[in-house]
Amino acid sequence: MSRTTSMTLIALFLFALAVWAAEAQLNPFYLQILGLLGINIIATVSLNFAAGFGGMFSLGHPAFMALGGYTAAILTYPVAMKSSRIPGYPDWLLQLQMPFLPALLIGGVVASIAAIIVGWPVLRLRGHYLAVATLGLTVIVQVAIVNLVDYTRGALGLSGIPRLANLWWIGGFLVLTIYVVYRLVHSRFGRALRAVRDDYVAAQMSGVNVARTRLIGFTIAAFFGGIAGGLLGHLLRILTPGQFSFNAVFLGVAMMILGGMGSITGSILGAVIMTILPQFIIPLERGGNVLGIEIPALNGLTQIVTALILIGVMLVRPGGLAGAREFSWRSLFNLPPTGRRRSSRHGGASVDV
Amino acid sequence: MTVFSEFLQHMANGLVLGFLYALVGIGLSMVYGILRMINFAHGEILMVGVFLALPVSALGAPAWLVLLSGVAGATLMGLLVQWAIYRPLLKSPEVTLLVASLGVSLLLQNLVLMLTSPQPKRPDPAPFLDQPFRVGEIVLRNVDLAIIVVAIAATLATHLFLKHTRHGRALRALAQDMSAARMMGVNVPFMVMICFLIGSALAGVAGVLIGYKYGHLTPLSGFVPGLKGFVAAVIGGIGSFPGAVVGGLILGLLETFLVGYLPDALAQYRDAYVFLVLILVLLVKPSGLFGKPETVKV
Repeated sequence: MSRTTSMTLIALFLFALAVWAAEAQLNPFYLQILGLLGINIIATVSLNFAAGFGGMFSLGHPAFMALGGYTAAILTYPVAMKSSRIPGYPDWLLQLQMPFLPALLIGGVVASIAAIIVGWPVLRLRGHYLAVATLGLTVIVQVAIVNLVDYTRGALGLSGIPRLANLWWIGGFLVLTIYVVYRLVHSRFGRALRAVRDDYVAAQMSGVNVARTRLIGFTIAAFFGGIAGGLLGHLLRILTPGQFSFNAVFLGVAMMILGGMGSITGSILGAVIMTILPQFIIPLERGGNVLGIEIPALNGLTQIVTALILIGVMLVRPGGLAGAREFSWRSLFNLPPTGRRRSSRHGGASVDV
Repeated sequence: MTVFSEFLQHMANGLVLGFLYALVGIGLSMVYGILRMINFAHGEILMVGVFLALPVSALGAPAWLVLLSGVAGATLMGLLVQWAIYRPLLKSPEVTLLVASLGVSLLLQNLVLMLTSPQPKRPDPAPFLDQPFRVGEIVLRNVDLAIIVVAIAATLATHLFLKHTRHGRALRALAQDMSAARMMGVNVPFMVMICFLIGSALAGVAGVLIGYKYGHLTPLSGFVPGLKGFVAAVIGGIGSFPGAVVGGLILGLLETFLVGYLPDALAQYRDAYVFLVLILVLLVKPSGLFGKPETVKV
């Protein structure tokens, strides 16, 4: 076993220890924030897989999260409450209550199917249109959730979802997502994906099936987005259309951009900052006495800070905090490089929209 | 009401809506044509324009003065954003501009939310604009008529500017080939500014007209018109001026007819239809009605 592998295993063990300690010791408020943090990391890493590594700047990630979240929630929803709260479904579905894992996976698959339906026409085109088409998907999903009251409880929100997600589930999927994305990026497929991002024509000339590569990459990202949505519903015990609104689009993009497009490490960093920071801003939003200073209620302050971060990063450091660099044990401990070429050292993420 | 006159009524409503989309779409299309940038903040410029016009309206100014102040407000805001944020990014990759415009959109929405109360607002009612206007069996309000007249005038003025002035020619050259235009002596940063100026002014026109027509303004009021304006521009062929106008009219008619003839239960999904149309257009004819097929940059 190489030194880096053993370090990774030790890190995983420490991570598991931390999850165990948190579950045992922390109060529900902090557990919820940590859970949200994990979910945000899953969502951001998967978004970055499409946008940063694949050059497919998608604004539809909240839509995929909503599809995965609502699907999983409906599948695990207690049968006793189903027919009174969401009576629109056929009888067999009303009688059905699934365990958590298959429900989550089916949620991910539903999100992937939506990604194929939207991606198939749009991804064949050169860039540009995907952002608007996927933002349109977010609008469509939002409108559908609000209006399909018998299926989703509309704007009221689907409450009473069993609290099945804990830090173990979220931590597990977090590790899985990072592992899968990392392995994909450094696989033959990932090289093809980055080649398409960097030079469409050259990739095509090298025998890459451009449309198929992009569609598969987009679908995988949507799958993990759907998983993140499923975890979210079963952590908060409620899903509302507001959780997947434009603000969610902006926040997700801010997490990815702040960390750096094309860096898994950056996505984790961005998600951590953008999850923790609002916890300090929200008290200011309500107004009142903060640290002895009297301030009025500042509605929308969180969004303003998010917006300033988006604009500021673009003006000052368009590559984000991490650029396209990744964390590695070798650079951390100054270990000699192995013979294998470091494939994570590609240039800055150039994305055409 | 006969079936035919109902059809005519929907048609009239659709045209009014379509002219509003066209006004928004022109600015988006022009900016995209030159910078290859999807300006997500365009709708917010519209919203800021009409919010700046509200105090003028509260003073009891006549509607035309409110319209002018809305145009002035939107134009100033558009130029400010362009100067402070987009101009330094002019040479950056397209995605940088797109993310920056997302940030501007979020910033303007929430700044307006913070500075005003969350209750929806409306311009002081103009009794003349609210009076009904009848042609045969079709009933419109004077404000609808005003929308059509003002939109045609503004579109025509933009058309004449683009076709018959030096600066208009420079703008068209820029859209065709930026580096060639630069070598021919076109002052690129200045013309980009002009482009944003025209787009923002037209958005301001649309904003005030929307305010008078619907009378329900919130800091989020600009977002959906902005997105639909983009869909209109894509239908017509993005980058094309007549395309944006025709695309806007088609989108307005389509939306109105769908909402008018579908059963009530399905009519609530009107915003969703617009994006289904977008996806269909991209599937069938991505370059739109008047657009040139996108050339691949090697």
